[in-house]
Amino acid sequence: MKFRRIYILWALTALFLVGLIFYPRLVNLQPYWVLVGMTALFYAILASSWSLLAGYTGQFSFAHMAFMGLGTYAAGILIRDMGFAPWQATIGGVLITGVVGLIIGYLCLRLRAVYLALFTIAFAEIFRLVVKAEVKFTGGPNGLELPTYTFPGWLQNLLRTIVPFWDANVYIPAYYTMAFLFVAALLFMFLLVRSRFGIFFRAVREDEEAAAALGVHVVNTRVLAFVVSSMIAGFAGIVFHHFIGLIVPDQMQIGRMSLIIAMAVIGGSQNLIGAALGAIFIHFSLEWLQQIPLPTAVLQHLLFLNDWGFSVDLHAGVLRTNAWRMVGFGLLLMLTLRFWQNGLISPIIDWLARREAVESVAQRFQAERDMDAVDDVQAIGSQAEAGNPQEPTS
Amino acid sequence: MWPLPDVLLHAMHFHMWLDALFKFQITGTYIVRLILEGLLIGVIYALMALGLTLIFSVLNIVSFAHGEFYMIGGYVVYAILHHYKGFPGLLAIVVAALVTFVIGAVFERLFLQPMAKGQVERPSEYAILITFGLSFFLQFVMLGIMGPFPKKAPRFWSFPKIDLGFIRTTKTTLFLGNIPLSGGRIFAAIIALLALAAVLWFMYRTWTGWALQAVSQDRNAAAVVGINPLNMNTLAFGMGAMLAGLAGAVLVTVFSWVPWVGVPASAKSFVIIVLGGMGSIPGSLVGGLILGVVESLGTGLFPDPARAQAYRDVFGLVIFALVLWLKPTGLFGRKL
Amino acid sequence: MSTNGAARGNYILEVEDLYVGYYRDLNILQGVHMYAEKGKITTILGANGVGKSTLLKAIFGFLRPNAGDIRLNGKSILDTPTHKRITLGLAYIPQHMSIFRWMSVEENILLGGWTFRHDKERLRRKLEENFERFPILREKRKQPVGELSGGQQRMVELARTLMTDPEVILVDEPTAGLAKLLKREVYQMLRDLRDNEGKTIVLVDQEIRHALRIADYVYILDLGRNKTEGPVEEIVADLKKAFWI
Ligand SMILES: Nc1ncnc2c1ncn2[C@@H]1O[C@H](COP(=O)(O)OP(=O)(O)OP(=O)(O)O)[C@@H](O)[C@H]1O
Ligand SMILES: [Mg+2]
Repeated sequence: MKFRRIYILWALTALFLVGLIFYPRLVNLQPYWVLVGMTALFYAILASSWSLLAGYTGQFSFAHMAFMGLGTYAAGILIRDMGFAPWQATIGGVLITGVVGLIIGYLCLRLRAVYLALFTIAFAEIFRLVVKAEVKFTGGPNGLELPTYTFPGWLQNLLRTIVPFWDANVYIPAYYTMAFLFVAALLFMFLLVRSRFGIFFRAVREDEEAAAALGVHVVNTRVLAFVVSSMIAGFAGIVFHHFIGLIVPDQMQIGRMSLIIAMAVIGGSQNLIGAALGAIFIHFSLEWLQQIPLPTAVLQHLLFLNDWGFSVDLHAGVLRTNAWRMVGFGLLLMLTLRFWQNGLISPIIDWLARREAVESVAQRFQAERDMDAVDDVQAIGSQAEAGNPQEPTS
Repeated sequence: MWPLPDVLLHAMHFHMWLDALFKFQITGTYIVRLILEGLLIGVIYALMALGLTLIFSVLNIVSFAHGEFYMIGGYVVYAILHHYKGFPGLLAIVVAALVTFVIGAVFERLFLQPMAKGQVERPSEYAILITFGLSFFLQFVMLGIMGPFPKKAPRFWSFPKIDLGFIRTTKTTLFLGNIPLSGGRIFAAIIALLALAAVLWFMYRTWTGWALQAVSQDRNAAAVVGINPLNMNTLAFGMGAMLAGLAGAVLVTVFSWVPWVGVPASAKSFVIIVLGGMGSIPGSLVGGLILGVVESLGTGLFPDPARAQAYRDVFGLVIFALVLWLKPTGLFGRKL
Repeated sequence: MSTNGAARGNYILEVEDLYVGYYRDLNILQGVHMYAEKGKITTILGANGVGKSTLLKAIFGFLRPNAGDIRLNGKSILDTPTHKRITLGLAYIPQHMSIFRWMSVEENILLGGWTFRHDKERLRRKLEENFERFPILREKRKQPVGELSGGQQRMVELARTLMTDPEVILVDEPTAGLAKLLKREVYQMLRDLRDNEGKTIVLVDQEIRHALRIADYVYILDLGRNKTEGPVEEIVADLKKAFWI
């Protein structure tokens, strides 16, 4: 049998899924690392749902984290004030996210792409400030508590038999729920972009007028992508924070949003899987970098910062060291945008997925289509020459 | 019954505002004071928005790092005054302007010029992401350098003693009748007005200003008469960054400064340029003043003073939404 | 009829074997040549979309050729950036109105002198010359150009172009959309520029009648290639034969 590159892709996918399932065992069920894995998956869902909007329709939402928080706060308030059960609140929160997304989408997506970016950045920041200020209603800077999910008894028992270490620590159920949500969300988005709508998304991005001429409703298509992407963010946020037990407004900081974008872009925002892998990769490398002491003192010295007397606030040391790590990722984001616009991971996936044998068929198909197009143009041309009766003759 | 969220309560109890008015808690003088304060801060908003307008009209992009130049401008002044006691404040402001200009110009050369030369795919998407990436980068660089704690630059000037009856001054405050106005803001507004005048003079009265206008109106025609559009791009981006830096530099003595202070500032400039009409210079000036006054009135008349500050930016967002809904070209929008 | 213009004498602008297009691997012009003689009007004719404007854009540097050479006074100008080409004595009036529509007439014309902006005396002199050439513009000097009529906008463009005293002027359909009377005026202006000031003009046009009346040498393009060329008398004779006029 002939070796094909796609086999590598299949093998890697299988390996990834196995890794996903056995990850808690691989880290010896240490709660901290299970939590890190769960958070990585959370970011992966956010990054890939962001790239559903950015990479497929060419629209940029800077309110992705805000929608995540909006859904979570909505769910939390539904539970606290209106006596919803957590699962009911989850659905309610996602729906509320969708409605707000719909309003903002219709407001901005009739216009050029930059308007959505402008509005969402303002919306995200102001929403966060309001949440922070409405102490009675949202808990303010201290955050809002959410109860954890309780699984029904039969499901609990079933899961206990499948996963022997289910009760080893509180984060294990959280991790597996997140993993399930991750796979489901990716599958859903994958099917969406493979469907008719996915073709509409791309058509609208490539050439708005041409798509409109073919009967695609441009605004509705964009709004659909925006709403779906925002609702997935809301969903992920609700589930994640139910397990964490608390959401604070600073979770919605623009810095977090930047990190999500860096993850998606570095992974490759033209590709859902690339963005998700980028998120997992970056989250783990941030954690890993945390273990390595950065020579901040040396760095500060080299930059003459100590001379300026800024290093006196010792308490800020840790934050500041983290800041320099983030600077690295900011730089990587800019360089990726400038030199590898397709990201660093998705080109590899694309290369592996490109089937050599099929390629030539595809090329032939393309060539035939081009010939057809030429024929069409000629046909239209001869019609035009024959004279268009509607055209006023002067 | 389900308890209603507070936000809705505010909306429902609108009559509380009216009550307050009728009980003369809100007097005419108070309103005048709010309007004056709004105009003072509005001048600085206008300065920032003018920078964004300049960038938009010449490069045809929106800089999402605009607030970060504002932040850096403020930090430069703070750092200089903090380190060299007795350094002339005005000179520190000039240094801040230069620093932000240089950062802006270098960024433009490295990351935006390839776009203008057609070396980048999907330029409009690239422009959004790369400037956003810059804002990410600058925020964390400044967090690394300055740390997370709020800083405030010392006041470096004081009013001369004046007493003209109606207009009186103390060291830090100006009284118009019985309306007190913070001297820091007056000082900032004066510098901003001077800067605005200088920029407008530059744009409309100098050859280089004409060249900037020419490039913004017709790039190819500008190249035909011998103007290098790439140089004008760099100049415009540098100047835009510099105007944001100036706004920060004059406000650092008024507000306390953290590395993410630029984010709401960006949001305000976005509201203004959309309100005024993207690319319109008069639009950004008028829009800045309108936003300043609306914010000031909204905050000052907010029923619950404890939360009023947090709602300051909400008024801008409401304006933003209304403009997008009703007149997306803005007040002075010209068809582009 | 001679098919290769290279046999003639004193060329100021030479375009040889030019391949150029808007996308990397799609050449609109495929091996076009064109030689403009000093002090003459060289006219380029052809149907819509054959690439006449593309040729002028390439000469002025808005498009980068994939192959071929463009020489001015015998020196290749391919490496000169677009905005520097005006300093070589080349000027260009594009097909679509290229004015600064929110700026005043005077500012527009002055911007034509961008390359010698520090020479106040020369600026003043050239501006005065232009106002004498187009008196109507003097009246409207403070108005934004966008408010003028199409013909007056063309005048502003021409005036702006003449600020630098260019040796070679590339003109792309200067009279498209103008009233009949104005058309005649514009062609008279071009003729004067040649006869009185010795300018070299490369004229792309759809107005075959007018264009042939003032032309000295004619190139006819067909879908990105040279079709025919020759001194205007030959071309006119051929056309007459072809159309029995
Ligand atoms: N900006 C552009 N991008 C891509 N293709 C273009 C562009 N401008 C022109 N073309 C194509 O190049 C070809 C030649 O165009 P060009 O403008 O040179 O024609 P022309 O001879 O000047 O026609 P006209 O008489 O209509 O002005 C046309 O097929 C056109 O479709
Ligand atoms: Mg043409």
